[in-house]
Amino acid sequence: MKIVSLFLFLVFNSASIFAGLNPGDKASDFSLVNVNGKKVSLSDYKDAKGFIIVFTCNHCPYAKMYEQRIIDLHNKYAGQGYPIIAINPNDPNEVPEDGMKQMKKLAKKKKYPFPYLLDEGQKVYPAYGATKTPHVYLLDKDKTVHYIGAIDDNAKDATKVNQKYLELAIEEMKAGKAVTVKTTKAIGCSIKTKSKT
Amino acid sequence: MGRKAFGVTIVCLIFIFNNAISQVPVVDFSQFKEKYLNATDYIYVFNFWATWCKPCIEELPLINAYIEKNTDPNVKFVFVSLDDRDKLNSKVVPFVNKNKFNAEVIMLDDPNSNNWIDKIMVEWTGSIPATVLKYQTRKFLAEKKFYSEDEIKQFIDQVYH
Repeated sequence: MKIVSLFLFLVFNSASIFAGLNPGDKASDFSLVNVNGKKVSLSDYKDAKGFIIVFTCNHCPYAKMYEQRIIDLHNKYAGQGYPIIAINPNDPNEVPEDGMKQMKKLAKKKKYPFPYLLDEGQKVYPAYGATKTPHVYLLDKDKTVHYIGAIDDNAKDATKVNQKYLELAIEEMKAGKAVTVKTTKAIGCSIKTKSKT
Repeated sequence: MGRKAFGVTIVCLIFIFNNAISQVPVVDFSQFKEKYLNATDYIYVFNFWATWCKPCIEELPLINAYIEKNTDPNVKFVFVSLDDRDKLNSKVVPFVNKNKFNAEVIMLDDPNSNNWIDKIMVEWTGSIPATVLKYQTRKFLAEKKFYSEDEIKQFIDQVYH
Protein backbone atom coordinates (compact mmCIF):
# COMPACT_ATOMS: atom_id res chain seq x y z
CA MET A 1 0.00 0.00 0.00
CA LYS A 2 2.75 2.36 1.03
CA ILE A 3 4.73 1.56 -2.11
CA VAL A 4 1.69 2.08 -4.30
CA SER A 5 0.95 5.45 -2.81
CA LEU A 6 4.59 6.47 -3.09
CA PHE A 7 4.53 5.42 -6.72
CA LEU A 8 1.34 7.39 -7.35
CA PHE A 9 2.88 10.33 -5.60
CA LEU A 10 5.96 10.22 -7.83
CA VAL A 11 3.87 9.85 -10.96
CA PHE A 12 1.68 12.73 -9.91
CA ASN A 13 4.61 14.95 -9.10
CA SER A 14 6.64 14.23 -12.20
CA ALA A 15 3.57 14.60 -14.40
CA SER A 16 3.32 18.25 -13.52
CA ILE A 17 6.93 18.78 -14.54
CA PHE A 18 7.22 16.77 -17.74
CA ALA A 19 3.75 16.59 -19.20
CA GLY A 20 2.62 19.08 -21.76
CA LEU A 21 4.31 21.41 -24.19
CA ASN A 22 7.57 23.27 -24.08
CA PRO A 23 8.64 26.13 -26.35
CA GLY A 24 9.62 24.64 -29.70
CA ASP A 25 7.12 21.78 -29.43
CA LYS A 26 4.21 21.41 -31.80
CA ALA A 27 0.79 21.83 -30.23
CA SER A 28 -2.14 19.67 -31.20
CA ASP A 29 -5.38 20.97 -32.66
CA PHE A 30 -8.68 20.50 -30.86
CA SER A 31 -12.38 20.75 -31.46
CA LEU A 32 -14.24 22.35 -28.58
CA VAL A 33 -17.65 23.89 -28.15
CA ASN A 34 -17.84 27.67 -28.13
CA VAL A 35 -20.30 29.81 -26.16
CA ASN A 36 -22.37 30.13 -29.36
CA GLY A 37 -22.82 26.34 -29.47
CA LYS A 38 -20.52 25.84 -32.47
CA LYS A 39 -17.33 23.83 -32.44
CA VAL A 40 -14.03 25.63 -32.93
CA SER A 41 -10.70 24.24 -34.14
CA LEU A 42 -7.43 25.95 -34.98
CA SER A 43 -7.79 24.56 -38.50
CA ASP A 44 -10.90 26.74 -38.94
CA TYR A 45 -8.63 29.76 -39.08
CA LYS A 46 -7.37 29.57 -42.63
CA ASP A 47 -5.68 32.98 -42.64
CA ALA A 48 -4.23 32.99 -39.14
CA LYS A 49 -0.52 33.66 -38.78
CA GLY A 50 -0.60 32.36 -35.26
CA PHE A 51 -2.74 31.82 -32.19
CA ILE A 52 -2.87 33.20 -28.68
CA ILE A 53 -4.39 30.41 -26.63
CA VAL A 54 -5.45 31.52 -23.17
CA PHE A 55 -6.59 28.99 -20.60
CA THR A 56 -8.91 31.07 -18.45
CA CYS A 57 -12.22 30.79 -16.67
CA ASN A 58 -15.04 32.67 -14.99
CA HIS A 59 -14.44 32.16 -11.30
CA CYS A 60 -10.73 32.74 -10.74
CA PRO A 61 -9.83 36.21 -9.42
CA TYR A 62 -6.64 36.19 -11.47
CA ALA A 63 -8.61 35.33 -14.60
CA LYS A 64 -10.97 38.20 -13.80
CA MET A 65 -8.09 40.63 -13.45
CA TYR A 66 -7.06 39.79 -17.02
CA GLU A 67 -10.48 39.79 -18.74
CA GLN A 68 -10.12 43.30 -20.15
CA ARG A 69 -6.44 42.83 -21.03
CA ILE A 70 -7.30 39.72 -23.06
CA ILE A 71 -10.01 41.61 -24.94
CA ASP A 72 -7.55 44.44 -25.65
CA LEU A 73 -4.93 41.98 -26.89
CA HIS A 74 -7.42 40.38 -29.26
CA ASN A 75 -8.50 43.77 -30.58
CA LYS A 76 -4.87 44.68 -31.18
CA TYR A 77 -3.65 41.43 -32.74
CA ALA A 78 -6.57 39.55 -34.31
CA GLY A 79 -6.57 41.95 -37.26
CA GLN A 80 -2.88 41.24 -37.75
CA GLY A 81 -3.56 37.50 -37.92
CA TYR A 82 -3.10 36.53 -34.28
CA PRO A 83 -6.48 35.88 -32.66
CA ILE A 84 -7.13 35.00 -29.03
CA ILE A 85 -8.75 31.65 -28.37
CA ALA A 86 -9.90 31.35 -24.77
CA ILE A 87 -10.40 27.90 -23.26
CA ASN A 88 -11.99 27.19 -19.89
CA PRO A 89 -10.21 24.06 -18.60
CA ASN A 90 -12.19 23.58 -15.38
CA ASP A 91 -14.66 20.81 -14.65
CA PRO A 92 -18.03 22.57 -14.19
CA ASN A 93 -19.04 19.81 -11.76
CA GLU A 94 -16.30 21.08 -9.46
CA VAL A 95 -16.89 24.78 -10.12
CA PRO A 96 -20.49 25.54 -11.12
CA GLU A 97 -19.49 29.11 -11.92
CA ASP A 98 -17.40 27.74 -14.80
CA GLY A 99 -20.26 25.92 -16.53
CA MET A 100 -21.27 26.63 -20.13
CA LYS A 101 -24.30 28.63 -19.04
CA GLN A 102 -22.16 30.94 -16.94
CA MET A 103 -19.51 31.12 -19.67
CA LYS A 104 -22.19 32.32 -22.08
CA LYS A 105 -23.25 34.96 -19.59
CA LEU A 106 -19.73 36.26 -19.09
CA ALA A 107 -18.97 36.26 -22.82
CA LYS A 108 -22.13 38.26 -23.43
CA LYS A 109 -21.52 40.67 -20.58
CA LYS A 110 -17.91 41.35 -21.55
CA LYS A 111 -18.74 41.19 -25.29
CA TYR A 112 -15.90 38.74 -25.85
CA PRO A 113 -14.70 39.31 -29.42
CA PHE A 114 -13.01 35.86 -29.40
CA PRO A 115 -14.23 32.29 -28.93
CA TYR A 116 -14.59 31.12 -25.34
CA LEU A 117 -14.45 27.32 -25.39
CA LEU A 118 -15.14 24.69 -22.78
CA ASP A 119 -12.57 21.92 -22.48
CA GLU A 120 -15.29 19.32 -22.14
CA GLY A 121 -13.83 16.05 -20.85
CA GLN A 122 -10.63 17.93 -19.91
CA LYS A 123 -8.42 16.46 -22.63
CA VAL A 124 -6.93 19.64 -24.07
CA TYR A 125 -5.40 21.36 -21.06
CA PRO A 126 -3.29 18.31 -20.04
CA ALA A 127 -2.06 17.93 -23.63
CA TYR A 128 -0.86 21.53 -23.49
CA GLY A 129 0.37 21.20 -19.93
CA ALA A 130 -1.64 24.07 -18.53
CA THR A 131 -1.79 24.05 -14.74
CA LYS A 132 -3.64 27.22 -13.89
CA THR A 133 -5.79 30.08 -15.06
CA PRO A 134 -4.74 32.27 -16.74
CA HIS A 135 -2.08 30.30 -18.63
CA VAL A 136 -1.07 31.45 -22.12
CA TYR A 137 0.35 29.55 -25.11
CA LEU A 138 1.56 31.50 -28.15
CA LEU A 139 1.66 29.43 -31.35
CA ASP A 140 2.67 30.23 -34.91
CA LYS A 141 0.51 29.11 -37.82
CA ASP A 142 2.17 25.68 -37.86
CA LYS A 143 1.18 25.34 -34.19
CA THR A 144 4.77 25.52 -32.97
CA VAL A 145 4.92 26.93 -29.45
CA HIS A 146 6.88 30.19 -29.10
CA TYR A 147 5.89 31.30 -25.64
CA ILE A 148 4.23 29.85 -22.50
CA GLY A 149 3.26 31.67 -19.36
CA ALA A 150 1.86 34.93 -18.07
CA ILE A 151 0.38 37.88 -19.95
CA ASP A 152 2.46 40.43 -18.06
CA ASP A 153 4.15 40.98 -14.72
CA ASN A 154 1.40 42.63 -12.71
CA ALA A 155 -1.93 40.85 -12.40
CA LYS A 156 -3.34 43.17 -9.79
CA ASP A 157 -2.71 46.47 -11.50
CA ALA A 158 -2.60 46.87 -15.28
CA THR A 159 -1.27 50.40 -14.89
CA LYS A 160 1.81 49.15 -13.03
CA VAL A 161 2.94 46.59 -15.59
CA ASN A 162 6.65 46.76 -16.36
CA GLN A 163 6.99 43.76 -18.66
CA LYS A 164 4.35 42.84 -21.23
CA TYR A 165 5.72 39.31 -21.67
CA LEU A 166 3.08 38.09 -24.11
CA GLU A 167 3.09 41.19 -26.32
CA LEU A 168 6.86 41.13 -26.44
CA ALA A 169 6.76 37.50 -27.56
CA ILE A 170 4.10 38.23 -30.21
CA GLU A 171 6.13 41.14 -31.59
CA GLU A 172 9.29 39.02 -31.79
CA MET A 173 7.45 36.10 -33.39
CA LYS A 174 5.81 38.48 -35.89
CA ALA A 175 9.22 39.86 -36.82
CA GLY A 176 10.51 36.33 -37.41
CA LYS A 177 12.88 36.57 -34.46
CA ALA A 178 13.41 34.00 -31.74
CA VAL A 179 11.40 34.91 -28.68
CA THR A 180 13.77 36.14 -25.94
CA VAL A 181 11.70 35.23 -22.88
CA LYS A 182 10.05 31.93 -23.81
CA THR A 183 8.46 31.08 -20.46
CA THR A 184 7.30 33.07 -17.47
CA LYS A 185 5.48 32.24 -14.27
CA ALA A 186 2.65 33.82 -12.35
CA ILE A 187 0.31 32.91 -9.55
CA GLY A 188 -2.99 31.53 -10.75
CA CYS A 189 -5.90 29.32 -9.77
CA SER A 190 -5.28 25.61 -10.06
CA ILE A 191 -7.29 23.89 -12.79
CA LYS A 192 -10.24 22.19 -11.14
CA THR A 193 -10.73 18.48 -11.73
CA LYS A 194 -12.75 15.80 -10.05
CA SER A 195 -11.29 14.90 -6.65
CA LYS A 196 -8.78 12.08 -7.00
CA THR A 197 -9.12 10.62 -3.52
CA MET B 1 -5.03 52.71 42.15
CA GLY B 2 -3.14 55.78 41.08
CA ARG B 3 -3.69 57.44 37.77
CA LYS B 4 -0.36 56.25 36.46
CA ALA B 5 -1.01 52.65 37.40
CA PHE B 6 -4.38 52.85 35.72
CA GLY B 7 -2.75 54.10 32.55
CA VAL B 8 -0.20 51.30 32.63
CA THR B 9 -2.99 48.75 33.14
CA ILE B 10 -4.83 50.09 30.11
CA VAL B 11 -1.69 49.92 28.00
CA CYS B 12 -1.12 46.34 29.18
CA LEU B 13 -4.70 45.39 28.39
CA ILE B 14 -4.44 46.88 24.93
CA PHE B 15 -1.21 44.97 24.43
CA ILE B 16 -2.77 41.68 25.53
CA PHE B 17 -5.88 42.32 23.47
CA ASN B 18 -3.88 43.07 20.35
CA ASN B 19 -1.88 39.91 20.74
CA ALA B 20 -4.96 37.80 21.25
CA ILE B 21 -6.10 38.84 17.79
CA SER B 22 -3.92 37.19 15.23
CA GLN B 23 -1.59 39.40 13.33
CA VAL B 24 -0.75 38.77 9.72
CA PRO B 25 2.55 40.43 8.83
CA VAL B 26 2.98 41.48 5.23
CA VAL B 27 6.31 40.70 3.59
CA ASP B 28 7.77 41.15 0.15
CA PHE B 29 9.84 38.40 -1.43
CA SER B 30 13.21 39.61 -0.16
CA GLN B 31 11.88 39.63 3.40
CA PHE B 32 10.27 36.23 2.91
CA LYS B 33 13.56 34.88 1.60
CA GLU B 34 15.59 36.24 4.47
CA LYS B 35 13.29 35.26 7.28
CA TYR B 36 11.84 31.96 6.01
CA LEU B 37 13.25 30.58 2.78
CA ASN B 38 16.90 30.87 3.82
CA ALA B 39 16.24 29.77 7.39
CA THR B 40 17.90 26.47 8.28
CA ASP B 41 16.80 26.15 11.90
CA TYR B 42 13.65 24.13 11.25
CA ILE B 43 11.96 21.91 8.76
CA TYR B 44 9.60 24.36 7.09
CA VAL B 45 6.24 23.68 5.53
CA PHE B 46 5.01 26.62 3.47
CA ASN B 47 1.41 26.48 2.35
CA PHE B 48 0.55 29.05 -0.32
CA TRP B 49 -3.12 29.96 -0.20
CA ALA B 50 -5.65 32.77 -0.61
CA THR B 51 -9.12 33.45 0.77
CA TRP B 52 -10.52 33.41 -2.79
CA CYS B 53 -9.05 29.96 -3.48
CA LYS B 54 -11.71 27.37 -2.67
CA PRO B 55 -9.47 24.27 -2.56
CA CYS B 56 -7.05 26.21 -0.33
CA ILE B 57 -9.81 27.04 2.14
CA GLU B 58 -10.85 23.40 2.12
CA GLU B 59 -7.38 22.01 2.82
CA LEU B 60 -6.20 24.50 5.47
CA PRO B 61 -8.35 22.97 8.26
CA LEU B 62 -6.92 19.55 7.31
CA ILE B 63 -3.37 20.82 7.59
CA ASN B 64 -4.27 22.47 10.87
CA ALA B 65 -5.73 19.22 12.18
CA TYR B 66 -2.55 17.46 11.11
CA ILE B 67 -0.46 20.01 13.05
CA GLU B 68 -2.56 19.50 16.18
CA LYS B 69 -2.14 15.74 16.08
CA ASN B 70 1.50 15.64 15.07
CA THR B 71 3.29 18.07 17.32
CA ASP B 72 6.87 18.13 16.17
CA PRO B 73 9.22 20.81 17.50
CA ASN B 74 11.42 20.39 14.43
CA VAL B 75 8.70 21.40 12.00
CA LYS B 76 7.43 24.92 11.50
CA PHE B 77 4.31 25.56 9.47
CA VAL B 78 3.83 28.88 7.69
CA PHE B 79 0.59 29.67 5.87
CA VAL B 80 1.47 32.21 3.20
CA SER B 81 -1.50 34.22 1.97
CA LEU B 82 -1.27 35.48 -1.61
CA ASP B 83 -4.38 37.59 -1.28
CA ASP B 84 -4.49 41.13 -2.53
CA ARG B 85 -2.92 43.51 -0.01
CA ASP B 86 -6.21 45.48 0.02
CA LYS B 87 -7.99 42.42 1.42
CA LEU B 88 -5.72 42.03 4.47
CA ASN B 89 -8.08 43.56 7.01
CA SER B 90 -11.38 42.85 5.29
CA LYS B 91 -10.79 39.19 4.37
CA VAL B 92 -7.52 37.65 5.53
CA VAL B 93 -7.39 38.72 9.20
CA PRO B 94 -11.06 37.81 9.88
CA PHE B 95 -10.52 34.42 8.21
CA VAL B 96 -7.41 33.75 10.28
CA ASN B 97 -9.11 34.86 13.52
CA LYS B 98 -12.06 32.62 12.84
CA ASN B 99 -9.94 29.55 12.18
CA LYS B 100 -7.36 29.88 14.96
CA PHE B 101 -4.59 28.15 13.02
CA ASN B 102 -1.69 26.53 14.84
CA ALA B 103 0.66 27.98 12.29
CA GLU B 104 2.30 31.26 11.56
CA VAL B 105 0.27 33.19 9.00
CA ILE B 106 1.88 35.81 6.80
CA MET B 107 1.00 37.62 3.60
CA LEU B 108 3.43 37.63 0.70
CA ASP B 109 2.77 40.76 -1.31
CA ASP B 110 5.12 41.04 -4.26
CA PRO B 111 3.89 41.58 -7.80
CA ASN B 112 6.97 40.17 -9.51
CA SER B 113 5.87 36.55 -9.27
CA ASN B 114 7.75 35.58 -12.43
CA ASN B 115 10.87 36.26 -10.44
CA TRP B 116 10.04 34.74 -7.07
CA ILE B 117 8.05 31.59 -7.94
CA ASP B 118 11.20 29.96 -9.34
CA LYS B 119 13.20 31.02 -6.31
CA ILE B 120 10.77 29.30 -4.00
CA MET B 121 10.84 26.20 -6.16
CA VAL B 122 11.64 25.80 -9.86
CA GLU B 123 9.11 22.98 -10.27
CA TRP B 124 6.22 25.14 -9.05
CA THR B 125 4.20 26.54 -11.95
CA GLY B 126 2.41 29.09 -9.77
CA SER B 127 -0.98 27.52 -9.19
CA ILE B 128 -2.42 27.39 -5.70
CA PRO B 129 -2.90 25.57 -3.43
CA ALA B 130 0.76 24.67 -3.31
CA THR B 131 2.78 23.36 -0.39
CA VAL B 132 6.55 23.43 -0.19
CA LEU B 133 8.43 21.30 2.32
CA LYS B 134 11.95 22.49 2.99
CA TYR B 135 14.78 21.31 5.15
CA GLN B 136 18.05 23.12 4.52
CA THR B 137 18.79 22.47 0.84
CA ARG B 138 16.16 19.79 0.28
CA LYS B 139 12.77 20.84 -1.07
CA PHE B 140 9.59 18.98 -1.91
CA LEU B 141 6.54 20.32 -3.73
CA ALA B 142 2.87 19.43 -3.66
CA GLU B 143 1.21 21.63 -6.29
CA LYS B 144 -2.19 20.23 -5.47
CA LYS B 145 -4.86 20.13 -2.83
CA PHE B 146 -4.51 17.70 0.07
CA TYR B 147 -7.61 15.62 0.63
CA SER B 148 -6.64 13.90 3.88
CA GLU B 149 -4.34 14.15 6.87
CA ASP B 150 -2.75 10.90 5.66
CA GLU B 151 -1.73 12.57 2.43
CA ILE B 152 -0.23 15.46 4.38
CA LYS B 153 1.64 13.03 6.59
CA GLN B 154 3.08 11.18 3.59
CA PHE B 155 4.17 14.44 2.06
CA ILE B 156 5.91 15.67 5.21
CA ASP B 157 7.47 12.28 6.01
CA GLN B 158 9.51 12.55 2.80
CA VAL B 159 11.89 14.84 4.59
CA TYR B 160 12.85 12.02 6.95
CA HIS B 161 13.70 9.54 4.20
